[in-house]
Amino acid sequence: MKATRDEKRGTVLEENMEAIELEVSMAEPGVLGLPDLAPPMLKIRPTRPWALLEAAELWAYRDLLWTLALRDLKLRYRQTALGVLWVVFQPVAGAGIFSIVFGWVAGLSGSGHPYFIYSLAGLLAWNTFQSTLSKSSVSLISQGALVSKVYFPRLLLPFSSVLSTLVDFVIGVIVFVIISGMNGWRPGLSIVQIPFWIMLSLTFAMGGGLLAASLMARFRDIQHVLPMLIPFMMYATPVAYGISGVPASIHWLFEYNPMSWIVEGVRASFLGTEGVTMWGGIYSVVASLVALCVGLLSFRRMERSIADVL
Amino acid sequence: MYSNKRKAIEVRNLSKMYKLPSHNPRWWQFSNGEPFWALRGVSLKIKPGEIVGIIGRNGSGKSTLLKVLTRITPPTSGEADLYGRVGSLLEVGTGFHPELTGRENIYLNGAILGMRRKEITAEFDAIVAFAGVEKFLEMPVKRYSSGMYVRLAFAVAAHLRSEILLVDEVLAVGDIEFQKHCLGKIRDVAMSGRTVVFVSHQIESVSALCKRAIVLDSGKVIFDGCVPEAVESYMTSFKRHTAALQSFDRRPGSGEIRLVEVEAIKSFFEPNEPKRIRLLLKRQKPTPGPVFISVGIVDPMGTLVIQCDSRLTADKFLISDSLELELVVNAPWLKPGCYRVDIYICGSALVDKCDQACYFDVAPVLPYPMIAPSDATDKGVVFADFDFNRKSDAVLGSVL
Repeated sequence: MKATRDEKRGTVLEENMEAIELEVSMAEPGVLGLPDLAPPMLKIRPTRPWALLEAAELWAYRDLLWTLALRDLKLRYRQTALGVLWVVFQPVAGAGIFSIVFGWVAGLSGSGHPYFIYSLAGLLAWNTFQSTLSKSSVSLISQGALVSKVYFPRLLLPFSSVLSTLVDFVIGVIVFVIISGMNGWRPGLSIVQIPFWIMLSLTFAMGGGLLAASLMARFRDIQHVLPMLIPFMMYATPVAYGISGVPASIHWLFEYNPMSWIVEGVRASFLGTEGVTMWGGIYSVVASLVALCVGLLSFRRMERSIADVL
Repeated sequence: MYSNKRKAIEVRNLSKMYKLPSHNPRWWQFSNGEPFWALRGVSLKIKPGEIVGIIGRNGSGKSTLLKVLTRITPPTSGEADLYGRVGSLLEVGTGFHPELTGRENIYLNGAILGMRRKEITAEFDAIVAFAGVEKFLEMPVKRYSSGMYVRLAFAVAAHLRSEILLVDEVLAVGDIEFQKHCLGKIRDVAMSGRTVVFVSHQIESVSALCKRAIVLDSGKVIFDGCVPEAVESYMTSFKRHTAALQSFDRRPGSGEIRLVEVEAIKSFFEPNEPKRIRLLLKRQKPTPGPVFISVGIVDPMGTLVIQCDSRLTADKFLISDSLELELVVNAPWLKPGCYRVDIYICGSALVDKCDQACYFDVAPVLPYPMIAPSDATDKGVVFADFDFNRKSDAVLGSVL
């Protein structure tokens, strides 16, 4: 009676042994494409070499970056009635409110342009910063389940938010061109500078986003602070008004804000308004790069142990 | 010999410490906390093409080891080298997004597991066929049945082109048919020369799949060798643990009454003899209310087969100091294997919860008068005391 179960187990084991012997014979060098005693492909150590980012690894995972970015894009307006119209609606509504509050009630001017167009150009620039900052800062904790179950370069999560920001911007530009075109606006040569300023805005925002993401993993307080801080930062940046309209006594404050120059730069490229001083341009480049480095460093410090903290 | 020199995985003296969070953490003391060593000096070597099972109790460090090997968490000290591309399956359906369709999720999940887009496209049909979801590819997975969901998720991971596959407990989900399907697939993976490290609670699937097993206990390797002996060593690690049931301050529940001793009267029962389990409860805090006890008996596949709730047979117990009870389970007969006993004590709320309070074995004998091939006993969850009684000899007579 005992025999039946034992026998069964016996046959299973025998099958296994055969299988394993077969494997050993198959696992000769060449079959797996690995030479005998090849160096390990993956070394796991308590600490790792110092580097700002591991470019080779990021490159190996480029398909994942793209897939994650596409996922964000696909998911954003799924099961909404208006779909992609929301991308159009948001900046237009924002500029509309600005026009009422600042253009009409407060009576600000648009440096020779209709105020609506003036503030729309500023908002498009600001939105690239704001959406990158807020999306990348929550990217780790919103994907907590993923991060604690599977390894991939964590940087992909904040980076993947850039694509949908860029898509929003491009749609925003199209809207801008249509609306301003109807008001008699024609693009000048300066419009070619736009990619440069947008790159700067993304770089600066990514620096802040990475710093916030790494702090937020441990202190969720940041999650509450940022949504409060972002509108505050917007009013401290010349989005609804021009930097030239700022009283001289606090002008220096605005000069220290890299976003002032970036927003002014985008607006100058669109409208040909009086542009950015050379020092403002250099300063914003340096500040953005420094911000990115600080963000990357802090992100890297936290990245490896993230699964233990989340 | 080539094969003796070649390695797939080499782990040297690996340790991992977690800081248990203090009761109310504050930002100015964020590095404080009681240290807890999930792994202590683990060393092992695995050759290419081996299927190695890792077994151990809950909290023995199995999953932590896999998390370190998959780079989800860094080790505190020690080193590990992996020779080849690593694929991991730590949880079925990681990275699935409920709003995305089956097709989109295959690409997303594949990419998360480290596959290139081209590779996924090449394997796409095989994945879909394995999961059997052809008709539902354009449907968001939130509308999938849980079975379809699990099948699709496993299918993606199983088609990963990696030299090393690390699998954690994935077979605990899905129906028996699918589990067999998965075991077969994992075996195929190893047959093609790839290395599989397989973590499981289910001794059965480890012994069906692996030739070698590593037993972990409290973060240390206590046995490394062939499966039958490993299972024995695993069982002893339970018994030692049963003696150490005292650590009840870590257990959930309000704790007025705690279970201080649990013991199966014998370590082996015949399938058809009454299973007797002795319980000792002690009052820990003043004025406990009346309580009832619920005992769950869980089979080796992880199914809770018997629930013995004292509300069904006795009334609530009022415990002034301590109470000794004997639980006797007369029926049904249990199939051979190792059974786990989970015990809950409840009053108006949960008082004590003790998972894996003890284990007992049911000997591999058949409680029936005839010997039959295994397909005569495979199907049921338990054995039943049954008979086929002759009612009309005329009909059966023609057969005989």
